[in-house]
Amino acid sequence: MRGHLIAIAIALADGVSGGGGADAQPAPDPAAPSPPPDDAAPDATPPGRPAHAGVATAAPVATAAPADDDVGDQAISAQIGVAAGGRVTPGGLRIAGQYLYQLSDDDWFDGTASFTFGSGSAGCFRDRADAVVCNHGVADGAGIEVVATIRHMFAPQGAFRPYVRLGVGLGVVRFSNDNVSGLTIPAHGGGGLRVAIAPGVAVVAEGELVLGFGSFNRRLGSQPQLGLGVTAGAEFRLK
Amino acid sequence: MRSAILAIVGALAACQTSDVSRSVGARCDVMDECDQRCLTPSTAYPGGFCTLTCADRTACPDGTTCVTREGGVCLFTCASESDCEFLGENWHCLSLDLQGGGIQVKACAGT
Repeated sequence: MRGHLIAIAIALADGVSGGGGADAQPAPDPAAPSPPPDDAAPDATPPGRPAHAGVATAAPVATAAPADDDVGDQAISAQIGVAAGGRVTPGGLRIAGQYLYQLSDDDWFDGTASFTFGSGSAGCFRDRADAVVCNHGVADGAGIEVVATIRHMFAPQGAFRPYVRLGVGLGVVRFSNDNVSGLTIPAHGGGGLRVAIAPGVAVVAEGELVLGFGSFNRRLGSQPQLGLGVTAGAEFRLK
Repeated sequence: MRSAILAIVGALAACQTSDVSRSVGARCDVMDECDQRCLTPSTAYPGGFCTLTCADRTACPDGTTCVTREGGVCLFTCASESDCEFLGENWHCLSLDLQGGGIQVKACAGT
């Protein structure tokens, strides 16, 4: 395990100092014996990096394999955390799954499906003008949402690679004890950090602000949505 | 940019405020509409009135007091008729017996 971590650290350091970005790849050890031609990896040398003398006999590069800290062309992640809502924005336990698809060197499409599970406490009442008012707590209600965002990755900062996300979602929220349901269209903005912990695997942690509107039953009509979310989980490279 | 975001968040947080709550003051027809107790619509409580059962005034939220009605319930305190206008038509500022106090206090009620 310790040796593995050292290898990851060396790979990360090499990725940052030796060009970084999506095409970073650990250089072969010049002291190591050259592998027999049959064993030579076809993608041992990434494009743009001169072939090392020790592997000069390796086959030409066919495709560039992603480095250990690379998000990859496609990736998925699973995250868990908490969401803070209030009024008619649900909050509580947040579970989310994401699908990432690379759009450019630094940008990925980030499609998220999230589930929020809060308490079922009632928080709605009729005011003296007979208008329905909902005043739920920060961890009340439940919601399901699909969100389409663009994730912009920044250059690695040591072992961390920060990013920001911005996009829009479509969701359904429910406050069961009040029999209140709604369809929401919130904007999502936030950021996070990812740390590669193994080839094709990274730990991610992110926070986001949710701001938008929803349409609700029980004569509530259009209501604002305002919430915060903090989640963390694991991200797995697919390609 | 930061001040604009704060302004939007503040505006959203400030909207939909109310002088009443599910605890005390909301209109109601049934108990489920209140945190604890619904005084159903009548001439005594026009439109219905969500409230809390109390043994003395310390059991009532700020701005309310415990009167001897219905075995002890919290009602909004008042000094004049205008203080009860927010509850709607037919609410008045009346002198009622304080629960557990042996004195009279002014509180909003229908009759």
